[in-house]
Amino acid sequence: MFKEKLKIIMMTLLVGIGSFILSTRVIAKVEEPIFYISLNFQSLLRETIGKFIPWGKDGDSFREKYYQLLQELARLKMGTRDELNLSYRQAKSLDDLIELNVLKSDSLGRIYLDRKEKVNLTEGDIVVDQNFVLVGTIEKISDKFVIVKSVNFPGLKFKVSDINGNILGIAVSVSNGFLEIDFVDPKTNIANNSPILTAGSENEIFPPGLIVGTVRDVYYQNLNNKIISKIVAKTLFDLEKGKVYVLP
Amino acid sequence: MIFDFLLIIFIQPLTSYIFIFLSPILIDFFLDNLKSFKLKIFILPLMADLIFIKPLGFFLIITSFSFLILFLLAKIFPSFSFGQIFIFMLVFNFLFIILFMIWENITITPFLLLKIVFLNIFFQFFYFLAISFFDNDRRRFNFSTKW
Repeated sequence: MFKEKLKIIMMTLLVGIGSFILSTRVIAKVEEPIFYISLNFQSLLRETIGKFIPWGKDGDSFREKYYQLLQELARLKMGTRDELNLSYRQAKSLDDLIELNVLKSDSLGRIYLDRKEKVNLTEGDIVVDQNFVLVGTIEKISDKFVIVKSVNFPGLKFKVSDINGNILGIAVSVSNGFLEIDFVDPKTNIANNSPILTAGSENEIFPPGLIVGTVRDVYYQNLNNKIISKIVAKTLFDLEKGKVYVLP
Repeated sequence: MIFDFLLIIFIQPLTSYIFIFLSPILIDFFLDNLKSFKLKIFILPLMADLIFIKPLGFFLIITSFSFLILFLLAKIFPSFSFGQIFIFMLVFNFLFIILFMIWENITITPFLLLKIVFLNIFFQFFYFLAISFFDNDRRRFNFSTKW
């Protein structure tokens, strides 16, 4: 029995390696329409099930108003930083940005977008939601769809700051939409629900000044002092409307 | 078989942490249904590739490589009872998830690894119970597989 099973496993491995090489080198273009059909099917499936089971839907009517306030605050903060010559500061509204529909969002931080029109996109382009909250960057572009690596992708590291531009530390995505910020400056003063923004120079993964999330918990070195050891934040991007926007 | 196809087509797109296609493969492996095992280990990972939007062969390689490493471990450490279903499933799931995370460049944190592994083990046991409850023609588990 062992030998038969081993034979089957070895054959599977060889077929797998052969398929993988063919798939990545030879038939990659042929696969794309099949993947596109699969993504559309999965999107339809989720929509259908979503009508019966309201999963992931937040009934909080104040959430949108809160986001709008954060959005305005972030715009004001971006606008006052003259030393940054960022092209997206010119975007006055979502109409200036490239809109793409969301096909699928998986729990491991990847988002699949529909590339219906042949819009001009580049790997590394920044993606935000309708509230200008950071979603992620474009990882791969194909003819039919686009793959975005979101800020929920486990292990993603980037600098973050508070609303005043004070660097908090390096945020690391730990899955489920949580970010852990370690190596926090001991002089930092931040409270729960404070917004967290991207920070650093334009050469970072994400440009500075974009809202990422809000503070969930602040951990101190010990109970007596107020020296922060770690901050846990929750990402804020919202895909419920099924659309995201690519920054120029 | 049709039940497995329907499960993968309609349930797998709803979860990224649980690799549903592994359950039918493992159950046939444990029950020594070689014909069904051969068919499922080729077809189900290919279906998963289409759902997870991975190049064809991605899950075939990871699944078969996980089995291969386990076979090797069983030969190197014969006293470790890899034939026992619980140990087999634990080691197999760890191997599979680690290989998956390495290939996907996902940072392996203990919390995420344990979460995904135990979610998968829990689903696999639930699947085995459901199958053995509904399908009276299948042989019952003897909780060990022959090497």
